[in-house]
Amino acid sequence: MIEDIAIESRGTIKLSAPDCTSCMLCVRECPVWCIEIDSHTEQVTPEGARRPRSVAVLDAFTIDWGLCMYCGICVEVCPFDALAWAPSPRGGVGEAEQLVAGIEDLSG
Amino acid sequence: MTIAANSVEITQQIEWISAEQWRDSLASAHRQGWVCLDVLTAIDRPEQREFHVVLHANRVDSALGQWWGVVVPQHDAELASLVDVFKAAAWHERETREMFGITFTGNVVSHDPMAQGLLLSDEAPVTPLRKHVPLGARVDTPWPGNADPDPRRSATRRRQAPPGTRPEWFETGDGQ
Amino acid sequence: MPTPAYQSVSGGARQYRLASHPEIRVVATDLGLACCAVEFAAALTRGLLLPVADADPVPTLHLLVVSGTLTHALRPSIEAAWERLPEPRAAMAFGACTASGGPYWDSYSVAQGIDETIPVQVYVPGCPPRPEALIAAILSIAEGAADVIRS
Repeated sequence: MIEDIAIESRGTIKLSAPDCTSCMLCVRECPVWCIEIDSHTEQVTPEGARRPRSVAVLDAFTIDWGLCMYCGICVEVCPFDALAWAPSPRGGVGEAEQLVAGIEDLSG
Repeated sequence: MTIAANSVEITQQIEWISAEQWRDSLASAHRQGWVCLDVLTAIDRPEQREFHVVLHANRVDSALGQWWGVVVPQHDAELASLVDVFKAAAWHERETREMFGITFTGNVVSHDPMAQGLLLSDEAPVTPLRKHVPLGARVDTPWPGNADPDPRRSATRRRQAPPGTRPEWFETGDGQ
Repeated sequence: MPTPAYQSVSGGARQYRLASHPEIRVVATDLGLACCAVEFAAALTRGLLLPVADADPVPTLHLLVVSGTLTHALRPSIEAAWERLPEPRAAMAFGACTASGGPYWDSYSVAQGIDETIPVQVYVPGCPPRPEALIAAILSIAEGAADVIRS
């Protein structure tokens, strides 16, 4: 039954965490405010570089599926294509808190 | 009515009527076959201090629909009622009064203070569709977009009002 | 067959069971408030749910599927529907509006979810969820059946 769902269906949204730079665009454009990002910056000095650079480190990325209205604005606006549609819908949960999905859940 | 198939904008011709001509023009339209009132409502235009009261009616002899509109100033938000042209206007004008505060002369229900509460409970805000009336949940909920991990960006990025809000809803007035 | 008391509240609303698992006697009734009810209807038209027949065995669980936006004005009605649901009973919040108010969470007239009005055993995300998600959630309630309300 689930296997018959078209590949382009808006079943759920997946996150590619390594591609996320914490630019916050998805958070700020979401009409229902269902995305939250927590991150910090670190100084790293690449091999052979003269000075350190600042890199963003993603600490937390959550989507509250109880709020998401599947508009896809976050997917469209991400400059790094870190968010993408996946056809298989998410299942039901027993507690409302379980509707908030973190990085591991979104990456799976 | 024109629909531009490949453009992002759908334009519909609105026939604009003066407030003085509002009832007579719609009565004439009704006689000419625009007999089915679809909706009568208002649009709040706070910057212009006016309402656009708009009406959509359909014919029953074809699939055509038509918009009519009238500009109503906010300092004197009163318009002639259309109840004797469209019976259904009684409900739409009552709703429009409840949501925007516009009164319709001749709609007894619209003028009667005892007849409030068609749709809104006592706890609901007065004239909630006026744009200056804030959505309480948006004001009270911290916006996730306020957080910015990059301290360099916070100082320079363009301040953005949270989606779904108007700056005037926030008391501090600094755009947060 | 719906009991007379239940039928009087539901207005004769039908009870449905899973087509794929005839042995599962969870019967579902839709409290269709808005668009999500269309997905429940789609489950019917696609034959994923079948009406409960007179000859069917007694249900093991009465499931109220709430689908659509709950307004403050409608809260007493949803309470009444829940109160008169025969036990053992459970409620499903089907779709974003029933979980949080969904896209309308900011509205002055909308309740931010149904779980402050009636107890909820399963929340199905989606706007709207697919019929397959409804079937899977009914299955999970039937197989888990942990949080049903029993007298």
